[in-house]
Amino acid sequence: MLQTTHLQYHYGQRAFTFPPLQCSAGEVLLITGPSGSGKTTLLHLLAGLLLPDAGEIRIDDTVINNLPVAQMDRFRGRHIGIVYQQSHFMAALTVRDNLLLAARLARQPAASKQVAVLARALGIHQLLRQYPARLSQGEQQRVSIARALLPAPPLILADEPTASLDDDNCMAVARLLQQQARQQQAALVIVTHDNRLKALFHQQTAMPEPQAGLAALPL
Amino acid sequence: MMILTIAVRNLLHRPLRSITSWLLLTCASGMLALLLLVQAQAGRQFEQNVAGIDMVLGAKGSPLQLILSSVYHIDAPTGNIPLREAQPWMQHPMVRAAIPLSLGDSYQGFRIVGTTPDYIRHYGGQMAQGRMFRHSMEAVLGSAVAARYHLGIGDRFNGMHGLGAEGHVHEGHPYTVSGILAPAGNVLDQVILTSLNSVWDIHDHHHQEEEEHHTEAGEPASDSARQVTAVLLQFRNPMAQLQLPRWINTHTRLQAAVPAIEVNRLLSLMGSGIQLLRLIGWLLMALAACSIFFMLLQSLQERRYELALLRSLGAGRARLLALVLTEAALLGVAGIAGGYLLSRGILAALQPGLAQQFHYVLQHWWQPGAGEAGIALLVLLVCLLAALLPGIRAFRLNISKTLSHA
Repeated sequence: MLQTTHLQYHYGQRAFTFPPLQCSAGEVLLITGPSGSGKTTLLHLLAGLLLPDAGEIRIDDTVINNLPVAQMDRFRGRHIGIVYQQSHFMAALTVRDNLLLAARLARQPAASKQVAVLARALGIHQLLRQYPARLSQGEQQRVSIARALLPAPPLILADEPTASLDDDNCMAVARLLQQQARQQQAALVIVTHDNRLKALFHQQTAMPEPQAGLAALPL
Repeated sequence: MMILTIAVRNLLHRPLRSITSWLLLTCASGMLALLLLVQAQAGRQFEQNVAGIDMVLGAKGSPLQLILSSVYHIDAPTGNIPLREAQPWMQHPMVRAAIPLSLGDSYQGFRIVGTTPDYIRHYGGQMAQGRMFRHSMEAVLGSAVAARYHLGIGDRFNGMHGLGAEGHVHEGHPYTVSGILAPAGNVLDQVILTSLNSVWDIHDHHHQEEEEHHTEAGEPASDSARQVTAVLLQFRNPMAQLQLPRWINTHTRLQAAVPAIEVNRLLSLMGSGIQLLRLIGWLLMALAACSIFFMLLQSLQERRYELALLRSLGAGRARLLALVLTEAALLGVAGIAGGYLLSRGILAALQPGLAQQFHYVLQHWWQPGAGEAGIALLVLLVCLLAALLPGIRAFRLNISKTLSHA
């Protein structure tokens, strides 16, 4: 499903070389490493939000490096679901409309029934009429997962999905993510420095140590 | 469709900000529409009522006042002139038609005009009921007068001396309604018409009874001493327009005023006021544009995560631009609608006052004028222009950077 060669990217003076990755449908790949090791950068490369300097990203038999911007946006909508560390929502829309919007943007219009089934599985069915700002962080993260899963993309990318959650919520969210991805036969890539997750998933890739001491977040 | 829904939700989600912009737009477009309307209405009314009258003959005084009182029936008359002095001009070879008017009385604020049937013909009046006045003390009512006081054929009413609300009622000399005119869309609707004889008869009688009015119309009544207030004249050729007024004004005790000149003067006086209001309207428009610009810029700054999110969910850049422009366009359309309602509301509120004071009924005022399409287009354009920069920023948003700075 997902295959990469050695990817390279740089911000100013700082250069990253990432290990090659491989993740098949229904599998979970955990990419671990301390902050500053370029995990978020790698995730943005995989999502086509950034372009690598060198290397190739192949998703579902499509090399995404060379897609034009508009086509990349469309490809991302249909093939990649993203769960962010901090959940972002359309503040003016209810939870239900946020979910439906994601499905429509992915050109996989979802029926209310589909939303209801997924929401029940994630334990957020009673929150559908709420506005996102009203939800707790754990609830927001679940909605965020529901949004990534609803269009049934073949690849799900999760960026520190559990960083802001307490232990109970962390375990619940990680299990839900794994369960639902397996059910949909999606490849799931989780980027994290959260040690609690390392115990849950077996397939792991560690990020190489940063070459300089400075944090290397995209600027 | 999806973009429209999100745009509406976004606007409603921040009601205070949206309402501020909408109010500014409403005031600006309403003001400009109102000015256009007032100008168009005033121009039309003035032109319709002056049509076919080349010169007005009356007592010395302000020429504008003479025109206003005798043609538009708004100002007070300048005074009376002896009919025999006016007669040489009424029968002058260069004059095609002459209509004498005798003013000074009113009924409930509507002026009673002593004249000849020619006056009604000149303004294209058609009898809706009854017949033309034939005898003294018979009156034909303009459509608005009849409608306002529910007067019918054969009804009687007493005229009042003077034009204001308060005045001496001519008791014992009631007019009888002989006819009612169909709406003519001009000044005819707002007056009561009777024969010159009626006015003369009332005042002859009046002078015998009351001594104090001697100063006003001095002489005893006789054919040679008949007075009129003004004479409306139509020339046979344009040459007369150049010669007659000047000759009359320098060589006689009469005053000759040319309506076209006076109306132009009046409109240019009004024009400077309208110019100022228009300037205020444009300023409001500029303010509204700035407000929308900053509103969109600020709200996009706050919502840049949302925009980045939309991109990461698969919405193209063109969609984000469309979303921003749609929000601005929605405000614009709401502003246009609000401005239309506002201008019509103000006109509707002014209407009774205008009818009472100036005897004018605005016509077709609720219909959008041609100029208003221009205003609407302009408002929309201003909104889109104000949204362009924020829209371009949304278009060029760096999603990776925005999302990782959460």
